[in-house]
Amino acid sequence: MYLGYLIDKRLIGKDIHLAMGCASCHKGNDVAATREEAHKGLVKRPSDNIALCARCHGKIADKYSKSLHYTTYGQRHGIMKRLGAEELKRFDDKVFEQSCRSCHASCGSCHVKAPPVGGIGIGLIKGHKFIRKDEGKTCAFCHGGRVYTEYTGEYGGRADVHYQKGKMCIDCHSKEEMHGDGTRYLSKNDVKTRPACKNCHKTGRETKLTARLSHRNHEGKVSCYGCHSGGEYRNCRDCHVESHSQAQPGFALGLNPRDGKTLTTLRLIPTARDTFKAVGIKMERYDAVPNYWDTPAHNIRKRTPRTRSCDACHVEGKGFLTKEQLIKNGSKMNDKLIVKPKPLNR
Amino acid sequence: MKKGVFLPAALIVLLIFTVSGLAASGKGCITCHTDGELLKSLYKPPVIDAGAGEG
Repeated sequence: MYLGYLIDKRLIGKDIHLAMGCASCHKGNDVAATREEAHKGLVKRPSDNIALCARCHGKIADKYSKSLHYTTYGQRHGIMKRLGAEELKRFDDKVFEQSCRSCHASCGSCHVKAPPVGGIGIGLIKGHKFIRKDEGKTCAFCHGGRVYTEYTGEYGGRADVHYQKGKMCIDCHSKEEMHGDGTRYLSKNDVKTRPACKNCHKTGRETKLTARLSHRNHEGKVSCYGCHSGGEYRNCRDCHVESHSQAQPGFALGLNPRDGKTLTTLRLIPTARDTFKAVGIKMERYDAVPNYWDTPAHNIRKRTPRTRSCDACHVEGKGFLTKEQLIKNGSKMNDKLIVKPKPLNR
Repeated sequence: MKKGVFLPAALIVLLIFTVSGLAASGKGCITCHTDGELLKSLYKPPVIDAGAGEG
């Protein structure tokens, strides 16, 4: 849409970035007589070259160049445990560099122009203004398949209570987390500045006695999401190099595969046994890790069927992952995530 | 020339000269990219890659 390329006239002369002239970042030819000549050599996403922003924003740019949004290492880390050494080399060459890495966010993806997804984008966020944040036009585009739509309720369930109270992504996922702390993390789970419910919700300060007792009894055994996820969230399955994954709503409680002891919400991930068959990767260690992983479901509610009644879990076992629900031909590790609710002593 | 044909033709010629003239003055990018109507007339919709997925 042409509006996505329309610059707000009022910014000219006011914004220091624009004062440097278009060609200082975008190259091209700003004295050309025709559209074609003007766009010859044009750099559409200048901040893909992070050194450009580093000219003035050196510290942030240096940290950001090592952050997960830029390196996209998280996607590689998730799959590498399933691959043999030779397969990993092939994966890096045929998949990671050509596909995963193309998804990285440049500085401009969050601060200037909304990232296009599937070739569709809204273009400039605010007439080429360098904005601090606009989660609905930035985060939502890349994370709109799962968490953002869960968060806003657009996926069909009820919206996250934090969203209803006016909180947006950056209120929990701080700019320090987004820009990175200079460490080249391999997974979002390792990031020290990632949010935690307890940063705001300290245990022992609950106004209701029942809530205080429940938190005390379940601490270290059940994650916050385990009880406070409002319901079904999006699960993707059967992703292949040549065809994309299928999505469906689902809810599953099981053991967190990272620690093997905490009950939490599990999300089915889209990697199937033959996901990379088309590029000659069999995944010789496919069964080393499960297909279900702990997920911070972004549909938090204060009251859910599990907070209202002990029976929901301890008698009825609602939402607990069962052997019958497991995907067909999945990883052998999936079985280890199944847990039976503890009966109540009445 | 009929009035119904002359007017649009004149407008197109005027538009071409305006665009090229302003572009040649060194303010080409700003001239086009701040004028909604002009940009609309020059815009070519992209070819959508139907295979791209979402995260």
